[in-house]
Amino acid sequence: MKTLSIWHRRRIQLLLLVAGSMVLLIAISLLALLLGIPNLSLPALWAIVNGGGGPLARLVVTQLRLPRLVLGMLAGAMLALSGSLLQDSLRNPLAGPELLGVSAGATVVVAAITIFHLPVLLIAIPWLALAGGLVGSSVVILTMSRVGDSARLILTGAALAALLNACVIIFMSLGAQNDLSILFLFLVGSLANRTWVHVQLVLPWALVAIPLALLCARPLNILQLGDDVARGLGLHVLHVRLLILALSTALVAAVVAVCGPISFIALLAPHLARRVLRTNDARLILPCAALLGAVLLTGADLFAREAFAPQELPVGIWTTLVGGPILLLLLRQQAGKPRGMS
Amino acid sequence: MRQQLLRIVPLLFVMMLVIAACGSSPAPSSSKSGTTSTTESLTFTDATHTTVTLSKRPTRIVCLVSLCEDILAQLGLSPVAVNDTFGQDPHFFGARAKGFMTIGGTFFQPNVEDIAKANPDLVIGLANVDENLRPALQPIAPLYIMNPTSYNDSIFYLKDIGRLTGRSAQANQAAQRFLNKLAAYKAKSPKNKSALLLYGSDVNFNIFTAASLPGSVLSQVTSYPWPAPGPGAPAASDHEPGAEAYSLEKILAVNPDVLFVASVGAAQPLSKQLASNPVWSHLKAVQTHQVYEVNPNYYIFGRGTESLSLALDDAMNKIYPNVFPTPLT
Repeated sequence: MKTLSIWHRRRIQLLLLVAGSMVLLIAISLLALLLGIPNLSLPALWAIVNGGGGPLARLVVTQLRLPRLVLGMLAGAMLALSGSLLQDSLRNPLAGPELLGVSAGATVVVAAITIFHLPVLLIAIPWLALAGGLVGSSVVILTMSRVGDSARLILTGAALAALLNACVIIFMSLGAQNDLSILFLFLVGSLANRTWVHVQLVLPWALVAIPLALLCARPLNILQLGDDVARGLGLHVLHVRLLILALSTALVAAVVAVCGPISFIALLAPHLARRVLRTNDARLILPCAALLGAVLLTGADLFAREAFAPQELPVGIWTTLVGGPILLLLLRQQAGKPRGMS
Repeated sequence: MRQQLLRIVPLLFVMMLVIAACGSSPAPSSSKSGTTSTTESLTFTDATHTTVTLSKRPTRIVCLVSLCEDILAQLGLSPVAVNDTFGQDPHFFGARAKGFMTIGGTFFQPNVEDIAKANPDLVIGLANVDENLRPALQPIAPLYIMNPTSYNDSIFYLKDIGRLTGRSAQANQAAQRFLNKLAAYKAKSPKNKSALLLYGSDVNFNIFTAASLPGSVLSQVTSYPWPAPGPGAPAASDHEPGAEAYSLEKILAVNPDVLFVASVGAAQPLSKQLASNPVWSHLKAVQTHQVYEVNPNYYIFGRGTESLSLALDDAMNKIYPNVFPTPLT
C-alpha cells in the first residue's frame, strides 16, 4: 500500500515537473520570438509564421531569434544529459563535462586561432573547435581507461582539463588588446548571433547522442549501486563507464564548439530534476534533466538578451551567476544525506 | 569539491581578469581632473586618481600604450622604450621607431625588468591594463595611467604631458590643430549618413558606442546612433571604455549606411565574413559595399589626437567621398 502511494506520488511529481517545464519552455519560446528589436505582437508573429510580416521582422525572427531559440533548447538539453550521465556513472554529484577535457580542448583551439590570428576560415572554426574538444576528451578517456575507480577517474580528468585550461591562460596572457575581449565572449559561452548554420552543426550530434543517452538509463541505475554490485550484476563497469564518457563527449563537443563552454547547466539541471522528483532513477532523471536544461538555458538567454538591451551579455555569465548559488544551496541541503545525490 | 574548484578556477580567473579589466577607473577629463597646479608644475593626477610629483622634468619616457607614442610624436619627443610597433607608422616616428628599445612580455603583462633597463623617469600606461604595475615600478619610475573615453580626454592627456615635459606650446598647437579639423569636418559634413565602428567576427563582436573614444569623434561629424548603455548596465567585456557586445537586432533595425570594421583573430577579413553571413548580408552597408576594413592603430589603439585625426580623415572620405575627396587640414 505504501509502495503504491510512493509510486502514485512520484507520478504526480513527474507530471507536474514535465507539465511545468513545458509551460515554461513555451512561454520562454514565445517571449524569445516576440521580444527584441522590433518588439512583436502575437498577430505579427503569426503573420510571420504564415509567410507574411515586414522584411525586418521576418529576418529577425526567422534568421536570428528562431535559430537562437532552437540552439538554446538543443544545447541546454545536451549539456543537462551530459551532466546526468557523468554524475550517475561516476557516482559524483559534482561531475561535469569539464572533466572530459571537451570544453578545454575546444577552448584551446579557439584561443589559439583568436590570439595568434591563425589563417583559418571562419566557417572552419566551429569544426576545428569540435576537433579540439574531441581530441581533448580522447586524451582524457584514454588516460581514464587505465584507471579503475571513479574517484581517480575524476581526479585524472580534472588534472588533464586543468592542464588544457592552463594552455588557454598562457595564450590569453599573450593576447593583443582586442583579441582578449573577443575570446572572452567565447570563453563564457553565448548564443548571441548564432544562425541556422550553427544549428546545423549541433543538430546531427543531438539527433544521435540524445536518444543514445536516454537509452543509458538502465546501466546508469546499476552503476549507482556501486562498482562491486554492478560487477555482481554482470556489468563490465570500466567499459560501460568509458562508453558513457564518450557519449557525454558527443553531447558536449558540438555545443562547446558553437556556443563556448556554458557553465552550470550540466551540473544544475540533473540536480533540480532529482530534487523535484525525489529519486535517482535515471529513467526519469535523464528526460526531465534534458527538459530542465532546455528551460534553464533558453530562459537565461532570454534574460541575457533583454536585461540590458541593446547591450548583449553572454548567457554564460547568467548561468554562472544564477546557477552557482542555486547549486550551492542544493548541495548544502543534501550535505547531511548519506549518498549526496538527492 | 576539489574537482569543482579545479573546474571553476579557470573561469574565475577569466572573470576576474575581465572584471578587473572592466572595473574602469574613471577617465580624468580636463574638467574633473584633480590637477590644479600651474603649467610649470611637475605634479600630475592620473586616471586612477593617484597624484604624483616628479622630481624633475621627464626626459626618458617609457610608453606601454600607443597613446603615449601619439602624444610624444606630437610634442617632438621620443620614447626611450615601447611595447608595440605603433610608432613605426610614418605618421608618427617612422623607421626611427625601430631604434626604440622594446619592452618584452605582453601587452597585458609587460616585462618590468625591461622597463627598469630603459632607466625611465616616467612610465605611461593604460587603465585597466597597467595600473597593477605600480608597486613593481615604485623603485624604478612614477607611473602615469591614462584612460581616455572621449577626444576631450585625449586632448587633456596631450596637454598634461606637454606641461610635464615643458612642451605646452607644442601640445596646445597640436590640440588646436585637431579641434580645428574636427570643427571643419563638423561644419561641412552633411550628417545624413549613419556609421558604425565594430570589431571581432560576425558572431562575437563588440561595437564602439557613442560613449567610446572613437565614437565620441564619429558622433560629432556624422550620424552615429549607438548610445552608451544606460546607468546600471554591467561593465563591458572589453578594457576599452564604451566598447560593448551589442544586439545584432538593433544594428539591423538602425541599418547603418557605412560600416567600419576591424578584424580580430581570423584569416578572413570581417568585411568578407559579413558579406557571406545570412543576416549581416541584409544590411544596407553590406549590400552597397560600404564595409571598410580600418587601420585599428588609427581608429582604436592610437587613442591620441593625431590617431583620431587620421581616423577622421579616413572615415569622412569613406562616408562622404564627394564632400571630402581629400583630407581637410
